[in-house]
Amino acid sequence: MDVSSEERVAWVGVASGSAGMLVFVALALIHALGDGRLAGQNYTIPMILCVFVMVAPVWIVRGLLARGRKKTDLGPDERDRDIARRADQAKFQVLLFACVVVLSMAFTGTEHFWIASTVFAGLGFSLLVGAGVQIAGYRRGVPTW
Amino acid sequence: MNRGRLGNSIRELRAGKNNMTQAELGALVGVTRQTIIAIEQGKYSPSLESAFRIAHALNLPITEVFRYEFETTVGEGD
Repeated sequence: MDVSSEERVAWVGVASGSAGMLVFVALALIHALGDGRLAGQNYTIPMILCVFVMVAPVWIVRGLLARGRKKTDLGPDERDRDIARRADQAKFQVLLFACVVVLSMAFTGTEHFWIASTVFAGLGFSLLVGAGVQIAGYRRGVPTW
Repeated sequence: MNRGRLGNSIRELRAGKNNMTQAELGALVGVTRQTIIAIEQGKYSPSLESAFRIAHALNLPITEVFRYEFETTVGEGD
């Protein structure tokens, strides 16, 4: 099957986004089994590491593809940019929703753990939704003019 | 609003140009082979500039390469 490099990056985003979120949820639950509280744990380092698990593979793969590209090869073209723009719009909507939820939580004095987790989830879901929109664009096509 | 889709005859016209490959046409136009495939399959509508470039690469006026196919609705044209 003929897959463009940008679609490959989108698939990597799906894999790394899912992995990062699953690893954080697993770590939080394992920790909660110890003292019975989710919110009381030291979540900072695992969360930052999981953010890197989510975004670093995309950076690395994109960098490797750029390095492996011959000078004569075309980079992302107008279709890639068009699909990426649609993915960015979808990501923005998810992040906007997450921002509203986080602000509401902050105003109501919710514990930091839950606020940070909501930001983390918003980031993770925005990456997944963006990658999903990109893959759908490559597979099913982009709406016409 | 009259809705429709952008149709094209790129595949047939390529065949008439010494079987020009999708990669060759893409190189002339400045897009990837995958984009030419998507355009041929009607999965992507190129920008106006790329549409003109495709027509130029095929040495044809744009209207012979692309056409807008209007959807006809029941009762329309009666």
